[in-house]
Amino acid sequence: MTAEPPLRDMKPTRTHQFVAGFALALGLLASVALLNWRQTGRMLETAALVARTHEEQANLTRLLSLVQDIETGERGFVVTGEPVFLESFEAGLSAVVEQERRLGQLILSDEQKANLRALESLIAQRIAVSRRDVELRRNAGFEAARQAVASGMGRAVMDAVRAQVARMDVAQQTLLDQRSAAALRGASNTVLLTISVTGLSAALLIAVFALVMRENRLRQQAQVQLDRFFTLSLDMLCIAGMNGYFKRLNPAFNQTLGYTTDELLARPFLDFVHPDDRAATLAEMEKLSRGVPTISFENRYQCQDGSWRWLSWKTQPVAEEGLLYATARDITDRRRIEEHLTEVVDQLRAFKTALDEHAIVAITDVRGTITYVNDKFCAISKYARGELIGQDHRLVNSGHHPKAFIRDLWQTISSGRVWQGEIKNRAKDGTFYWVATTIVPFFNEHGKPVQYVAIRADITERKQDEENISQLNADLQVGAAQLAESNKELESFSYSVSHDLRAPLRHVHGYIEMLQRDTASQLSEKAQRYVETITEASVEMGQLIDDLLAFSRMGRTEMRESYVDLNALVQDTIRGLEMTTTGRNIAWQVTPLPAVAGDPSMLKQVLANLIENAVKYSRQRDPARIEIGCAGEEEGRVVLFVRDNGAGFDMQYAHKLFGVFQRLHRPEEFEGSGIGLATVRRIVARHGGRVWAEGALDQGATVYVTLKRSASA
Amino acid sequence: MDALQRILLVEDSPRDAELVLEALGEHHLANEVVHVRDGAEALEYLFRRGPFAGRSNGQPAVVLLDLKMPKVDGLEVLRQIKNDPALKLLPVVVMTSSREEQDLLTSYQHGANAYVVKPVQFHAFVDAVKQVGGFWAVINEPPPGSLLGRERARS
Repeated sequence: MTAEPPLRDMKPTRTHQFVAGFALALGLLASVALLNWRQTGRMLETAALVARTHEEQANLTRLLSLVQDIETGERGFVVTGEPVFLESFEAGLSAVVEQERRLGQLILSDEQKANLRALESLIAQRIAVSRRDVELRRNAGFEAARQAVASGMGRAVMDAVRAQVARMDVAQQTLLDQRSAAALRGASNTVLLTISVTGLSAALLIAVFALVMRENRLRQQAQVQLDRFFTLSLDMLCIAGMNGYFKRLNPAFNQTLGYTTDELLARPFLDFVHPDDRAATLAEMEKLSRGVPTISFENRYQCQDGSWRWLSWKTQPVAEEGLLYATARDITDRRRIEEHLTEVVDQLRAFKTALDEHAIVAITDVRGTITYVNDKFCAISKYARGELIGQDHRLVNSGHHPKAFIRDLWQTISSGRVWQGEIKNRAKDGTFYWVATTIVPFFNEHGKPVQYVAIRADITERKQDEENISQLNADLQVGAAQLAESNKELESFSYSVSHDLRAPLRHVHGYIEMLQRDTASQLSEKAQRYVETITEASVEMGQLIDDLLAFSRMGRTEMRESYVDLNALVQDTIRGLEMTTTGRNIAWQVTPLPAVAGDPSMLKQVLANLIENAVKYSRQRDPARIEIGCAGEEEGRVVLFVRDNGAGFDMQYAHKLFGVFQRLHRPEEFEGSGIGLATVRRIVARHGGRVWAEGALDQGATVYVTLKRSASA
Repeated sequence: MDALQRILLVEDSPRDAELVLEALGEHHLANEVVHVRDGAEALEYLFRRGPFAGRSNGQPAVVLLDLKMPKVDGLEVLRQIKNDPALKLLPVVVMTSSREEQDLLTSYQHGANAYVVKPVQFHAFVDAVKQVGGFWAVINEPPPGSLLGRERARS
């Protein structure tokens, strides 16, 4: 197959050979025909010459006979004198002239013409002899005549005539023989030539035929090869007409599109083209019709199952055939991959854009040489890109970090792990900046790192903040220490109050008692009252001290938050007040309360203080009405209220209600130290809530507290 | 009536001491009350040091111990008593004006046998002292093997 020259190149040479061979054979045969034609002409000429020769000879013989007739007539007359002989003599004379004329017409060769003139002369002599004899007879009689005849003159001339005729006969025969021989020779030559030339032509034709046959076989073979390729091709191959129909399709069309060949041939191929691609396809067809080949044109074809395939066309129009030779490739998958890749690339570009917007990015090679920096890197380091590329990060090294830190970084990333940490760098202008850094190593297929991508965030401000915070923390620690110190002082103060203030009080009380005991009988009534007052005052003071201590303790005790059932606390409190409430007419109105989160003992104290107050200030009412319930929510906290219909208070003094030892009533009206609501406020505040009161003089009061709703309830 | 046992009263305040003695005396509960005025003196008495180096009698039946005192405070006295193998069985009743939780807790942690807050009102105070004295000096049986036990056996 490789020995065969390419079919396309072979074609002109072969055709030339065929044409030349045929022309040569045709020329040879034509010349043979010409030769034969000429030879036949020559043969015909020879045959005509033979006939003429025979006619000449016959006319010669007749001429001789006519001359003899004249002699015979002359002699008869001479002998007889009978005039009848003169008649034949005379007839012979005219016949001879006629015969000589005819012969002159027949004879062509100059030699024979000369011979004929000589013969005519001899005949004329003889005739002249005859006439003399005849005249002698008539005039001189028989004897004279007979003597004249006997002289033999007549016979001699006659012999010469005969000899001349014979000579002419021989000459004619010789000419005939020569011509016959030439004709014969020409014929045999012609036959030889014809045979050889015809043979040559036949050989040529056979050769050409063989060539044609061989060419044909090669063509068929090439056609078969082409057909195999046509059938085999993964690409779609087709021939289409300018009329918009396919003419021939290879099986790849069926495989790709799913239609049978007949289905594809039955409709204009534009029918299969996606509607959106039809205009472009038509434009491409228009170009093809102008003879412009299509190199790479893409459109969508519908498959038999309704799906679409992207095809890439390469088409060569052949104007003289009115055909399009086209190959199409199914690039659907490629396009899908391309689209996917485009998407991925777009996505990555978006990521990069976002990343560049957000972060400081640098890429270094495996030796740490900077190969890429983004704008943010330049901005923070104050170096131009050109000053950074090709350098390594020592350029921005601040010297802040110990060598071990840098070594750990390199060990981490060169062993393939991501390094994260905070680095202090120095910018070109000598200022320092902090970056939270993530360095990610990337590997080649052998698992060796090829480059490191470092993403950084500027945390200089945060670092400064941290510094400030640590300073603040240090300050705070000092403050806390001071606070602890003052707390301690406060504790020792209240300890002193508890211990040292109470002791003298106790002594006052004790000694007054002893005085009263020892001297009771000797004291006047007035003095007795003084002693009693001193005792009462000291008891009062003891109560004040205890309340103050309790209040102080409330601010310092540790809080233990847990689930608190307010309903149970309310019931306990009311039950605990039975001693006080016995004999009173109190209408309790308690609605169910939600569970709250708080310190149970503290909250119990809150409820106790509020309910005790309500009981105390409503004691002049009959019936006293005390309401405990929930008044909705405030900022997510339960609002609890305790309402009474008692003495109430003037709202203009409401702000004094929750102060320590602040009282809105005189002691003789209502006993108490004025510490209860202060304690309530302190406890509620420690629970993150607030407390307030509403009321009017003699209209009763409502105290509200907000408490945290229990998460577990 | 059984012989009343000796009580060691550790009290810096002479008035409180007088009131305690008065209360004990009123109820005839004290045939012998040794009053020392601060923690240091209490330790000298109990460990027979300084002025009490020559003390030959046994340890008291109970120590009534005030907490807040100059020099060595009551908690330190309590700690030393309870850390001493010979003294740790000696009953110590803390009698103080303090209701502070911290004081209560520390006292019991150090091994106090009782904790009594001195009432402000004299009646209540006298009542409290009477009950404390009566219980520890009369009703309560002192721990065996103490010096007190030996004295009692001898007498």
